[in-house]
Amino acid sequence: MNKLLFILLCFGLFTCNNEAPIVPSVDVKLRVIGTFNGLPLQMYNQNYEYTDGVNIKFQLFNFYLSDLYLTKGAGSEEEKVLLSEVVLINFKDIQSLSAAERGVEIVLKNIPIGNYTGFQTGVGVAPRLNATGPASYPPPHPLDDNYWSWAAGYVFSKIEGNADIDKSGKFATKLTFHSGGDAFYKPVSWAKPISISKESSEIVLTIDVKDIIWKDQNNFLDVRKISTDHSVNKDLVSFLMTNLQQGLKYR
Amino acid sequence: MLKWPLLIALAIFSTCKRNTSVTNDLPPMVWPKDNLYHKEKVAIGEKLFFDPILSVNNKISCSTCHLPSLAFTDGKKVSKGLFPLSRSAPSLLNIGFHFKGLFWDGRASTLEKQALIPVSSPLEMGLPWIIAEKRINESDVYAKAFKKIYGDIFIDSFKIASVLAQYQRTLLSNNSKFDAVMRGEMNFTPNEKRGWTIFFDADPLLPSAECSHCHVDPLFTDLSFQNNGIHTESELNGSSSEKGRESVTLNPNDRFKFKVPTLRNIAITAPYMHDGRLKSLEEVMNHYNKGGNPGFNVNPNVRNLNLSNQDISDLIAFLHTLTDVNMAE
Repeated sequence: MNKLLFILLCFGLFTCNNEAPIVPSVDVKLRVIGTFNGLPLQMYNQNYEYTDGVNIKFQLFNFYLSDLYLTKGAGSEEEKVLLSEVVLINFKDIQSLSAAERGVEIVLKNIPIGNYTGFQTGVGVAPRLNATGPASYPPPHPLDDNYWSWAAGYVFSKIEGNADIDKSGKFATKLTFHSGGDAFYKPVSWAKPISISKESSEIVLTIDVKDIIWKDQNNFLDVRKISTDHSVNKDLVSFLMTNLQQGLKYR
Repeated sequence: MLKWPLLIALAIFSTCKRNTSVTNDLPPMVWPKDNLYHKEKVAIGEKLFFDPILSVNNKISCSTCHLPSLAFTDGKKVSKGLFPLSRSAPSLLNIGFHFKGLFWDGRASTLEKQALIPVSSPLEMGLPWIIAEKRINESDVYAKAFKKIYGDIFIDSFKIASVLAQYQRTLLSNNSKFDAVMRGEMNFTPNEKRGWTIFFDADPLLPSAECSHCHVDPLFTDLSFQNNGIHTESELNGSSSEKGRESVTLNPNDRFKFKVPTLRNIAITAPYMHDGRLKSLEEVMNHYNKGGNPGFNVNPNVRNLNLSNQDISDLIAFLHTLTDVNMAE
């Protein structure tokens, strides 16, 4: 196998003399800003009014994005530039107002400068990556954690915190919602002009956590009735993952 | 211009057999670029680990608190070097994978930095590094061994720490009954299997113990820092000298957070928790079954579990399958 690889590479080395033009590149900052009902999303330090007088404090909110691309053109002419195979958007350390306003920042290295026509990603862990596991990734790596060995897949999103449902101020109800599963992996794309240059190299997404757990008065996560789920309740997982995908906005 | 060197490198690569038989299902070990695996460094590190030469009274070695027979713990509530410490000795098995911080509070970022601390700590080995360096440089055995690797130069604290780190990265545990079952070489008993299921919340028809959120396999720790509700709420809001992770980050939200310990070999590493306050696995189970003490930063996965005695018994049966007899010996 290695010998075959050697022969093929030798062939490639001696036949490819056309050196590709060097396209200047920059590091692109992916910034994801979280809110809850429009208020900056802070872990631990902020009460958020939810519904029917229930207040929530968060300790953890995270989710994966896979196959992040900038696109050019459309249809068969479409060109894609891969930004990253997978990133973990983790609000664990977003605990102050200033951090919340800044959001989660991830640097995507060596992205070609140019004018693009859109951005696309998958919400969750793409099935081919979801079939791997932490043993495949030297740490630190986004996929070195959040893995369910018993389900042979990653936790696509975690929402954890505490709810005050009896208005005692004790926030005694513990909330843990972990969602995952190939069926809930959702692609999302935005068609809009995006210029990547030395002066402009930032992609900003926003997500409002209330949009994930509350759709309308008849469709919402009622934490008075359900406080935990680890992707057992498929209707709930579908609700949360669909809302996460629909709630993610390009700014 | 660059083709010929590349071609030669490819030729070498294509004729090499790559070693793919390391650390079954454990994550890839990442060795620091400035302290890559070196067989002879490991050997010196091992010798030093068991040698009291690095203590002020020549009586305490790393292995005083990290005994191989107890999965590199010491079986004590809290460890004792020259004087009693406030925390128990964590297991060193698979410690080379712990890249998010070492010690219960994560205050050392690498094994190399960690190894510098106990030697000079007045409570632990109490030997100023300047004297430790002198002892090693004047020791025929160590001077000769270090010289073989580094040449004829002064052996400083960083070189000594680097060989201790090398040895610790070789302390691997992945040959328990659990591992054998995962490899398809053995089967769980019905009770162990039921315990496994409850541990991993893997069957909605059985109770969930919520263990695997933090005790993620294969390491059985996610290396994070968590408040598991072991301290009371009054301790949490009081002025305890023990602050856990907060003493490193200075972030009040990290109060009483401690590193999630590995559960590998947990059956032979009693007592439990950072201060050894729980004597048995049964006490640990009872703590979690009650949902721990309340607190603003207690991990929400620590919740009332409503486990029966049978559930707890099966969970403990499963935890016993994490004992790696090779390491225990």
